[in-house]
Amino acid sequence: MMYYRLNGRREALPAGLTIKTLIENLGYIGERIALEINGDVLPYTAAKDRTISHEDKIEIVCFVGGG
Amino acid sequence: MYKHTERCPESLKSPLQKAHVAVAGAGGLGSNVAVLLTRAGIGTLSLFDYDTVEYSNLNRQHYFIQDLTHPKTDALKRHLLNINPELVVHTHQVKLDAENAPDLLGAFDIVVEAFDGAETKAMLISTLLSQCPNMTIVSGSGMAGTQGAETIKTQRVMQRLWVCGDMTTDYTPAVGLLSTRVQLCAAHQAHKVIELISGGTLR
Repeated sequence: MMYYRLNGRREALPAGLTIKTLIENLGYIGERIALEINGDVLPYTAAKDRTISHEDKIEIVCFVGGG
Repeated sequence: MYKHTERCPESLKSPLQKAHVAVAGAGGLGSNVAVLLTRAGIGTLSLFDYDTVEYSNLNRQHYFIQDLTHPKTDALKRHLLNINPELVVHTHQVKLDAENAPDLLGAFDIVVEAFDGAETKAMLISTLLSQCPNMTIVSGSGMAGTQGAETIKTQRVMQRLWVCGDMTTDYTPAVGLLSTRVQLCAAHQAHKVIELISGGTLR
């Protein structure tokens, strides 16, 4: 079975899952997140169409307002 | 003679004195982080903010009635130098964006993210961490509302990103921003900065 890691947790990887779909499934807004794929931080707009690969390690932080 | 560092832990005196940290945003988080780092004995701070002081800031930000309408960077610099006249402060009255942030902040090893909007936090962090390979960012996210102090935490969420806050409570006018929780979050950020400056985990 294909899998990826999301914030350290092992998750089953459906074929063709993109970053954009993952973010939407999590209920996040792309403009509010920071994203790290296999150790590289990427702006959401640059990474949203990327298809997640087997064994990818993805870290997502969704920010909230206030300061 | 007056010595600002008299009560500073011995092991931190020299690392703090040599450190130069950038604070992006001089509102509730940034002004309080800057005050705490100054009291701790940091050598140099660079402050970035485009805004001026308003009444609505005074419930949580380190400003006073006489600062109203003044640029936050100028007012904060005055207050910091009143705490430690030997502090070196650089001020930049500028709105940071994805174009200018790498130029203005790219040389820093440690940046404090202290914006108020979720989108601008994400923009600054994504821009800097993707373009500046030696930078560590200490961010604040989730300090609105009235939840218990123990919900504010410091977490390492990426290799070069620490986030302080409860991570979930979004600001709305009804939820509000309370001095205590904003200060708690700012103190978490400042303490993490001091840990990073010390080169390890404080014990």
